[in-house]
Order: sequence, then structure tokens, then C-alpha cells
Amino acid sequence: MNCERIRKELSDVVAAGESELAATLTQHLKSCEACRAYYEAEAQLLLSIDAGLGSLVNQPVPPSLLPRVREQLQEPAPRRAWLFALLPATVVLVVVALVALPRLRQTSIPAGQPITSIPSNVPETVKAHPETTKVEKAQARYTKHPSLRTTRAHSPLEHKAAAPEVIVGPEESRGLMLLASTVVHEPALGKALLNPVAPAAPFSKPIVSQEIAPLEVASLEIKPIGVEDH
Amino acid sequence: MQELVLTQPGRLLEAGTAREAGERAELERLLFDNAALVYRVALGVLRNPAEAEDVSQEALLRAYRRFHALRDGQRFRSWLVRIAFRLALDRSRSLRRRRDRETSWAQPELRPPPQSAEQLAALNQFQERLARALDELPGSQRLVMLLTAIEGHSVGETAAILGIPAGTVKSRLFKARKCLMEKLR
Repeated sequence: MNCERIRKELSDVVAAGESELAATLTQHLKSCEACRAYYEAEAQLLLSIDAGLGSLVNQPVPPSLLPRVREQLQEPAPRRAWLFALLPATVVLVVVALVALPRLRQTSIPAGQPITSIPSNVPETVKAHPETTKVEKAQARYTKHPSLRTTRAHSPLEHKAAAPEVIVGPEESRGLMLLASTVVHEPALGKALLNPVAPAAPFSKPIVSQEIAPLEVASLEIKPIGVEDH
Repeated sequence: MQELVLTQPGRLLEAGTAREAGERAELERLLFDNAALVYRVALGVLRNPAEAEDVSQEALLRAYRRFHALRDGQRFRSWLVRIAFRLALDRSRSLRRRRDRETSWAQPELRPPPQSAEQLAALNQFQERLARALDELPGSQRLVMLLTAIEGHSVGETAAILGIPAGTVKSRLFKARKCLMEKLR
């Protein structure tokens, strides 16, 4: 028999952890001393591997491990997940604030003053600008409704006076961010928006309430199915 | 909204809090029962008790904090062992990179003194060669070799820990042993 093939089979038997050999292998080993020595060396090698691994992993657990873990379990867990979730939004807000802040501080609006409409000192060319007119009309519609809150231009770096702060909802907050970015790109429009003026004429008009007539509901006539009207 | 339970007139207990405390205690018990297994897996990869203890602590804490992400509670041991194994592998790579950097920049006087032939002969060279050969095994084979080397872990026990069939464990063991024997022959 081919000793090379026999030795490969013997290695496989040893690696598989089998103790019994096939009859052909046993027969060969009886007559081949070299293969017998090879088989014994392979078995010894595997025993050495197992012993080496065993001495590596089967060491006593350090007594300090469990107390250290218990101590850590008592501490509150770091709230990282929500922080990472908010990180992109936080970065956007910081960037917008950094860009918009210098522009806000350059305006002539004192802190706490409401944004109303186009100031009187704005050049006529600006007043006549179509976008300016749109803003004026939009602002007029906005401030007509008493339920709508007024957005105030407020620089966070200025010393905060006793002026009341207004809580804005998320949509309004987004609108403010868009406004800040618009101001950067269109300075004339920004100036028009951020300078205070006296209330425009439409504000002085009285609000006329309309009466709504009560809804009349006709009485229902119940008819059996199949009965026709005459 | 927390569920409130009236136990005595005028006294309210937060049932949610009591339930959570019970679940936390149970989870802690599970972790501590498997701490030795975690440590031995980490030690098998890192071969350094201090590093293995650090990684074990990290693995147990990570399992505690992410327990809610485990869908099947029956696979807790498998999940925990895999966390420990991955962390140990990451730490091993990091240590190796640091060792390589320090070796390249080390001043001659900072290196350990050369060992004599007798000292080298006294070292367990086989253990070092075994460790190197183990590092070169694929992760799945390496983990199976480590788990079956732990006392009391038969093929069936290893299969139960990993949540895989016993035949798969045997197959990986066979391939791992063949590879190690070829390198150490």
C-alpha cells in the first residue's frame, strides 16, 4: 500500500478524534514500522495541542472581575444612542447658528422687538422689490390672526434682559432656520425683514366677525325597502 | 406611562419599576453565571490575564446594556460568547498593532535583554508556536477549539453554547486540528 496515502488517512483519523482504525489501516500498521511511528507521533501531537489549549484557557477567573462588573452595573449607562441619533441635527443647528448669528447681530433691531414689516428707512428700490411686497403681504396675513405667535429676533450672545421668551413649535423652528439661511444669501431681503417699522395700515382695520347661520337638518322619512313614492 | 398598582390603601407601588428590578436581577445572575466562560474565551484569544479580564468586563457590561436587542433569550450564552470573542479579537489586533509600532521605534536599551540559548530552550516553544498557529485559524474554528478546550465542554456542550448542530462543531474541530497539526508537525 502507498504509505503516503495511509499517513494521510491516519492524520484524518487522529484529527477526527477517533480511536478505532479501519481494518486496512490496522493491517498496514502491523507490517509498516514507519507508518506506525508516524501514527504515534500524530496522536502525541494532538494530545500536546489539547494540553496546550487546556493550560491556556483553564485558568482561575480573577476574583476582581465580578466586583468590577457589579460596580459598573450600579452606574447609570451612558446614553450614547440618543446622542448619536441627534448628532446630525445638532451639527446642522450649530452651523446655521454660526452662519446666521453675525447677520442677526448686525441688524438694527433691539433684542426682543417683534418682526413686523418693512422699515421706513429701507430704500424705495427695496420696498418696490417684488419679494419685499410678498413679505409685507405675508406678514400682514400672519399677524392678523391673534392665535399665531410672534417670532422675535433674539441674539443668544446678547445679555438677556427680562423680555419674555416665546416658545415656538418645531415647524416654526424650522422656518426660523430657513430664514437665517435666506438672510445670508439675500442681504437686502434680510435687512427688510429684520428692521422694525410701525404697524402697516392693514393692522388698523377692525376685524369683522361673520355670523354663521345654524345648520338646518331636514327630518328623515323612513321608508320600507321596495315601497315607491307616489 | 407606568402602570400603577394599589397594594394598600393610600400606598401606590410602580409595578413597572418592580418588574424591571426583577428582570435586572435575573439578567445580572445570568451574566455572573457565565462570567467564567467569558473570561476563558477571552483568555484563549489574548493569552494575557489582565487583558482578558478587561475584555471580559467590557463584554459583560455590553451584554447587560444591549440585552433588549437580543430577540431570543434562549440564545443568551451563544450571544454572550460571541460578544466576548469579537471583543477579544479586536483587542488582540489592537495590541499587535501597538506592539509592532513600539518594536519599530524602541531604543535598543529599552528592548528586553537577549535570552541565552538555555533560556530559549527553557521556554515553552511549543506553546508559542501553538499560539501563533491558533491566531491564524479562521474565527469560527478558533472559537470551537477554545470552547472544547474548556473543562467540561464536550462537543455537545459546545454546540449548545454556540447554538449550532453538533455535526458542525465536529466539522470545524476536524478542520482546525488538521490545520494546527500541519503547522506544528
